[in-house]
Amino acid sequence: MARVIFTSELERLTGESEVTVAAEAYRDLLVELCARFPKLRQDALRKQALAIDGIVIQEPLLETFDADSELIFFAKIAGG
Amino acid sequence: MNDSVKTDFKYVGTRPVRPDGPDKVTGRAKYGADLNLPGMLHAHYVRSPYAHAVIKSIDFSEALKLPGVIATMTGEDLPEPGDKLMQGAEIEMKLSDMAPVVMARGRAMFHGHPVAAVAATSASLAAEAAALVRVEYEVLPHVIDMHAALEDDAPLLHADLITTGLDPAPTVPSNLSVDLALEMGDVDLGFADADVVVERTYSVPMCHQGYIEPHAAIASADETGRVEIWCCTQGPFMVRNFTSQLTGIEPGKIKVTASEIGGGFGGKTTVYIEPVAAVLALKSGRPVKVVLSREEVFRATGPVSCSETRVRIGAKKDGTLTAIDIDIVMDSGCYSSSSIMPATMFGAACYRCENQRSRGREVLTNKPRVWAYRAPGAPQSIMAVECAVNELAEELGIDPVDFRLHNAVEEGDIPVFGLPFQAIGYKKALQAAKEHPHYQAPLGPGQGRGLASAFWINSGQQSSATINIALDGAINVLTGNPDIGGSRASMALLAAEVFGVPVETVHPTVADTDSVGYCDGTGGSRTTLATGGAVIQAAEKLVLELRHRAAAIWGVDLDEVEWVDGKAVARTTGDLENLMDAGAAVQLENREMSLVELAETSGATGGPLSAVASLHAHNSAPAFAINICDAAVDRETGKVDITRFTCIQDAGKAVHPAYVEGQMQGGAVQGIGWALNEEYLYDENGVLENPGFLDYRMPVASDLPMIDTVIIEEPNPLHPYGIRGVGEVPICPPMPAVATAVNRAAGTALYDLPLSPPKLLAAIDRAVE
Repeated sequence: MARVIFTSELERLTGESEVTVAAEAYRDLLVELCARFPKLRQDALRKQALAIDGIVIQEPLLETFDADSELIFFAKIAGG
Repeated sequence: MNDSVKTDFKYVGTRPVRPDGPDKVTGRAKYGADLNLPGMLHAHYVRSPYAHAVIKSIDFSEALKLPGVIATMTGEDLPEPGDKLMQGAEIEMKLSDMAPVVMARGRAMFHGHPVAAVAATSASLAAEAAALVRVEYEVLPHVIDMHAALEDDAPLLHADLITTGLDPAPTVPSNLSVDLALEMGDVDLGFADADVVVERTYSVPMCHQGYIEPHAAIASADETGRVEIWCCTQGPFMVRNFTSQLTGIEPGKIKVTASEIGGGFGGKTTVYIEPVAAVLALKSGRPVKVVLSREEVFRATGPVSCSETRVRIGAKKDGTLTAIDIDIVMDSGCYSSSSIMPATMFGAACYRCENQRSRGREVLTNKPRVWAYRAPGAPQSIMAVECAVNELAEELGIDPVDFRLHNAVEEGDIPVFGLPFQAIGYKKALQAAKEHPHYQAPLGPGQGRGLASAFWINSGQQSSATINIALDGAINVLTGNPDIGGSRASMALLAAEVFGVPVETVHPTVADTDSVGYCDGTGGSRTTLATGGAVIQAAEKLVLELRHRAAAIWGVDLDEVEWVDGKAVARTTGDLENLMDAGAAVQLENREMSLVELAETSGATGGPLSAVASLHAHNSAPAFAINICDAAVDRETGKVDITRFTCIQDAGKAVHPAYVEGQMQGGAVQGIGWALNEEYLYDENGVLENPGFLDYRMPVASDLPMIDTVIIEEPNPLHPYGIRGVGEVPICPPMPAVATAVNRAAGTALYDLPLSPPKLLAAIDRAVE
């Protein structure tokens, strides 16, 4: 099962620093996390990028990942 | 390193003359204000004389009496924006927070805020007409200082603003727009474990990006409502998107052409004047030109957040960091948009430390809404952390480079923002700093030396490229990224590398939004990485097509044809019997076709040679930079002379090293200016007192020594050519390097930037006392 590591900002809403998930795709991941942690909101998560095994995906809508993947929600940074 | 990363280059890494150079030095290059169209009108703004006021009415009747005044505009000419979210500088912004920046809606939020515009047949007439527009205001209390804005009795900028980032969310509105915190480990335990703790507060002033070219745009509309915009921007597609969202014009009816650009530095990654030009063009039926004055640029574009940062850092006697605690407050001006997120995330990113806490708060004031400036937000927090690290190293008697080497992050380390580092060159850069002649050189009398390091994450985003090969083999590369820092030269080098042809045969062009696929803006240190990646992909597609064509001509399989140094070469040598035959030798010589030969025959082999590539780059990688600064202080006048300055940067593969060095030097100069002189000065009425280069003191060439540069090329393991991106991190380390050098030279502990002569003199006097 993929491992989701929450930054401290999200940990305040989940109460846990990391969890494993059955989801294997981004959309399923949002549904699963928001069902488990009511304070998490899909629209808030969608504003973040998702790092899959260290690769930051700014728009992960169609992304899938492996059962041993490490997932981190990450602020979108555009730069200047 | 990933084996798929190319390390052997023929053209990438060389220093050809820039393709845009001749046009720029001969004056042929066309910038934003250089285009004029038949029947063109000129627009002029009416701006608020108050820092905060209700706009009760706007009366154009006197202005419209002037012959030649054709059209007018107010915020009511823009559609109700609603709460749709759009990507801002670093935070997604509500459209309702962006529309009023272009033109006030009901309230003026800062002095100089545009409240109306008129278009007339000449610039002077438009100015005269604007002066005749009667605006009735109800003046409201204003707040300029961000600390005052946090007081309970401060004037409230937005009655519906509820702080985000807090759980539970506040129930009453305030001027605190964002309050976020990141934490790892146990900070209190870390400080209890420390032998030495340094705690100090650091202030960085509001400044401007200071691009030399003021904003300029010209818009025209045809009878179908299709709008064409010519403007100086970092992102023509951004202009199309934002203008569409703000005006209601369908994006497919907007074509944007980027002019040459005289600097942006992040400040031109948004729109100010383009929607105004478009609306006035539609209303008047004539082309409308908008050119801001320098004063307008200072008063109502940019600027960059001021900040106050409290830093507390603890370490063991051997220099091992035990805890880092950062608390930064940033001023966002009148709408939320600041870079508080990266400021909070990246202040201590250079350091491996188990126990970290970083809090960031964004405050709204009656000043222009701030916008991006190179690595947005990072310079302010890095200034604080790096100065504190220098102080800590000094207190422990450890060389500042050795201190950093002892605590430097490396591959696998997890920073407070949670994303593990991949291969990075920070330690190599530190080692290069330690070994640099500058760092080894003794200081002159009365001089001080400062060193600082910095991190910036860099960006990827979306890019496209089109490559067309002409019949003579010339390679035309089209991208949608305005060339701010040499991207055309980089695109040409990357294409030359793939095709194996001299870079002079490649012609890079910045195309309009109708002519090339979508590109996010030139910014985020992304263009060479992402748009360059699209160029590589398009070129590789064409090389494959050229091999197909050669294989078809020769009647051999594709895998028998290689592409070598700009030529298709048949891999097969034929059978031994043919080789022994005298006629076969001739046949073998023919099994090599140049790009020119293939281009000449393209009509008979399948048609034009053209390829397109579009991508969403997920392969960005961070950059690290180190600065060494020597400074001398005149103790009678407080004037600072930077006597020597060296930049070292982990740049990944440097595609055009001279441009990389230029980015490093440019960032250093801007950081030096921010440290020593640049600041926004407001009076008690909220009026900017120094909206011009006479009073807003930017460094000029005579203020500076030659900036020395060292490029460290630690390849990005995720990019086929190892490219990282270079444009932003150079502005992060100069402020702490300069502040440390100046304080050591002067014997002061002044960390309230800028270190301008009056403040420095006062600090010297205090130190003497």
